[in-house]
Amino acid sequence: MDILGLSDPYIIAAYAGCFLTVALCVAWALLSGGDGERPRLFKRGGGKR
Amino acid sequence: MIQLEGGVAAAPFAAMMAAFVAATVLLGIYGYRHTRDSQGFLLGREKTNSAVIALSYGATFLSASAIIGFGGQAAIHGMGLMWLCFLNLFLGLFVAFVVFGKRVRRMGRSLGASTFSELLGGIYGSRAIRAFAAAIILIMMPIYCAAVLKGGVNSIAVITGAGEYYNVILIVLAVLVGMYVAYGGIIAVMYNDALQAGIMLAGMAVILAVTYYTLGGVHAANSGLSDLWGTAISDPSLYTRSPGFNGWTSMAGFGTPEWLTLVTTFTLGVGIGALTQPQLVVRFMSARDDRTINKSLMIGSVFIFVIVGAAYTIGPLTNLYFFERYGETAINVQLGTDFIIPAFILDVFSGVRFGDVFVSLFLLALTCAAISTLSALMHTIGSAGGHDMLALWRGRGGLAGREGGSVRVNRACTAMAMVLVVVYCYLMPSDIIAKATSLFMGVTAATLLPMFAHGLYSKRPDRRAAMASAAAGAASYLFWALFVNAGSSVFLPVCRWITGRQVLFSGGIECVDALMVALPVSAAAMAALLLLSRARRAREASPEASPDPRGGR
Repeated sequence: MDILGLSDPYIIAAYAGCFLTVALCVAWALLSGGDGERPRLFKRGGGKR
Repeated sequence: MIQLEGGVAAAPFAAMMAAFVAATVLLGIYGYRHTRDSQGFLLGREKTNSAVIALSYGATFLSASAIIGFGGQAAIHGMGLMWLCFLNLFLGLFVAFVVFGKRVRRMGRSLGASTFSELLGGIYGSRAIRAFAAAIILIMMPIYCAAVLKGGVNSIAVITGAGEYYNVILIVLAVLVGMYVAYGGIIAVMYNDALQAGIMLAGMAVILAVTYYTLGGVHAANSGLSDLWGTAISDPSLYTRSPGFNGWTSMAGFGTPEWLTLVTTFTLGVGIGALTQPQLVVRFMSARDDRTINKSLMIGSVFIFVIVGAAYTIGPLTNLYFFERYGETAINVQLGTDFIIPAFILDVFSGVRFGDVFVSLFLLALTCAAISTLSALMHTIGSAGGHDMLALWRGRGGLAGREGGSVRVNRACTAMAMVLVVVYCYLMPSDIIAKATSLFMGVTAATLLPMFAHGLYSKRPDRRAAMASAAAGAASYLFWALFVNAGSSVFLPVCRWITGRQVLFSGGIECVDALMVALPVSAAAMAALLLLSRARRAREASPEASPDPRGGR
């Protein structure tokens, strides 16, 4: 496996982990509503009201 | 030996610094005008917006140590350090904001707390816990603060070639930061942090782009660095001879001394420690509402990823650059690890059009990284003295003093903190910045993390368990750092004085960071006391244990 010149799975996983955490943070920021504990998508009932 | 040559051109750097100092002074005046009382000095107006919170948190979190200290370590230990970037993002940002941040804000508001120590003391209803947290800040934080100041001044003096003005740079930097913190309070600190974060972001993004451009693109650069290991393995002068090192684009061999240093000291030691930094926790307490904290995650994550990810990627790539240009790698850079990134920046921009502007931008970014952390640390030290300790002293006969000093007392304490930090700078040995960072984060995590988490999430916080956890964490951390870990025992060689040996044990255990032992010990002490308390309560509540009012038992 060669991704952008990197082949060690642990190094690739570290970069992937960083990108995924940034994506998680962005999603959390965009989907969270009001003063709720967590974004609506993660609430019971899948965010349906 | 790769020399640091060139230095920064005076004109562009002076112009940038003049604009920066002017903006800093203006934001200091803005903070001064909006700071009317002690509460305003400590927490601002409690309506700080999400962008300022995110950038202030990020800029405080990442000092010059993250860029040049840990960037240099990445040049030696390779891209495995990206796991620290992951932990900075996941633990230091996501968990800190989502798991701790919102609870901190709500509890801080309901308890009327303005500082980290006051929050902990309020949660447990304990003067002793408040005093303990404030004492940790007053004793340990000036050392960390001095290390950050000293590291920043060292870099500026070397890169500008103004080593003979070292004392002047140190005093000017300390006074500039001390003045705007003392007069502008947290408002000036956070708005200046946001400005400095913007400069850091621009500087590091440009340098990452230029690095990959110079080395022929992302794929070519990474492949070239992988291939370099094949060449270097036959020449031990080109890489660290730590057993287990497998090249700059590969993870170290599991369980080897290199792996233990990389994972326990750098990755976990610093990654976990970020959760209980008093100067960061205060940022949550100044947020308007939970939504502001949630929204801060977006800007904060991008900021930390760009700064830390760029530093830990550029570091290893400097090896390829130096090898292609000089036939040597970063291990051969003059003056040591902390000067690998500055040496690379000076070299890569020499002879390039507008190169002086980019070097000046990097130096300004470095100055911003140092100042943003320094200002937050000085504010926290000043608050611990002028608010917490004064309140405890005044309320000697009562439970937990809530009233700290006036805004003038807080300012005076911040100014005293500035003087103390400058004195420390002259007393401390060189090359201590990364160790002092790791030490401070380790001590705070080992002593305060279980207490902090339990206090935030327990319906019935147990103060005896909290004190036991703090005592066990502090004792085990000190023992391991002074007698077992080879990296930390050299700075205060108590073990050598007593036993004649650097550390008590060998065989790989000397590479394990003290936090890896102290944090589980601290958590176990808390769990044991909580179980004992629960058992005692159950005994007291059971019918057999309670005395029969009719005289049966």
